[in-house]
Amino acid sequence: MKQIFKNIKISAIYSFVPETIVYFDDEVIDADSARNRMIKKSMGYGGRRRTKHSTSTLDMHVYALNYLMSNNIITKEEIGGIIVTAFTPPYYAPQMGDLLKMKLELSNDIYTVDNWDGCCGYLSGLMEAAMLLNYIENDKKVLLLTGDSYNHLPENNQTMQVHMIKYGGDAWSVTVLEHGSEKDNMPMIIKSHGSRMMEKKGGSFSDFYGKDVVNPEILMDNPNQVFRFFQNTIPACINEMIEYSDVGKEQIAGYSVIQANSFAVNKYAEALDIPYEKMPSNLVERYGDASASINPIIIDELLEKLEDTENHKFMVVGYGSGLKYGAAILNMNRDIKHGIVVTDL
Amino acid sequence: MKEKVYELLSILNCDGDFESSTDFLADELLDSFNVIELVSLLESEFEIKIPGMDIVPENFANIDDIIKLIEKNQK
Repeated sequence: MKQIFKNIKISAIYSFVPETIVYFDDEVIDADSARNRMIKKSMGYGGRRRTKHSTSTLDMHVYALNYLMSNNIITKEEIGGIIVTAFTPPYYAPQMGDLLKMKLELSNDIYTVDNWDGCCGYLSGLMEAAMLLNYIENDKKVLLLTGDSYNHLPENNQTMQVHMIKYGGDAWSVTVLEHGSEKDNMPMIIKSHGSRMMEKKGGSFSDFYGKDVVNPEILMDNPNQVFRFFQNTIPACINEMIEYSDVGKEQIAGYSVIQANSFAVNKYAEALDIPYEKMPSNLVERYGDASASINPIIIDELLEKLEDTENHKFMVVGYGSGLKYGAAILNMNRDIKHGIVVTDL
Repeated sequence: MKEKVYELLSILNCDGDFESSTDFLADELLDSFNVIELVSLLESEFEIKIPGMDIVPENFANIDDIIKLIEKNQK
């Protein structure tokens, strides 16, 4: 799908992380071995955030929405829709959006939808939020929630355990979208290879990708295949977005690219001749692989780097399970309410 | 160049018999992490940038493939 959404703007982006940091050096056996030192350097691993064992993804979002309401960033009455993207919901059903309405005593009229788009979730969530905004009242806003917690990994999947224990980082976010003016356009591209899934991950309280229910024929879990797929598609997708939006590469102030490791992101920058500082790749060092929630965290850092209050264009790039990928261009300025909140969850 | 590449390979797997192997990956002398590590080492040693699209198993299957990859990116 390729679309320019009109009259849509982002008015706030807040990210949240737990206070607990666990370090690669403390988690791997023999951190000083040549191999582990080289993995750490090449992939950019350092520390990652981890929620308490008793914290669910629902708790994280209840905290986030209470934070926004208590800081007068959003009121209950303004909420017209909630899009939730998570790999680790506490349950299949009831869905997280509905649970949030119950927990926070929100109006029954609020439309909610959960998606499982994983690392592409911020991007697909933006698209769903933009579509929803077209059909709700002018004074209503749509909230896009991302978030995952890997503190309840299932015990029966060694691959998942190894990957997520060492590199998965817990983080969550809320992005507030509302009706804007004629100049507030949001070009977006989302594509999906579709025939194959990429990852098996675990829910915070349930193993919903047990091997008994997954058809191995649809899995692409060979890292080489996955790496090659995205090294081919992501630079091409970024170029396609630049051409489609008619926004010159030099006009893009910064790129927020999903990062399971820094190596892949640096290779995109090199392929596109984009300066490394415009396409940060070192977030994984501080947050681990935070899935879709890394996009808003990077946006926050890019906003902090802006030296003026003018409007700037950021490109968000997401890709992940389902071999879904895409890009969007957002109009951003330093006055957008934003922040990264460290919590005791 | 060949000796230097062997030296780098031995950093990744000091017990690996790279000189006798014609397929480092099939012979399990290298894994996918090693390939990433090797790219970093080659880029640093030979002052080159290896494009992401070139980081595929067939370019790291044996010593000749790796040398071809280095030479291609030196141009």
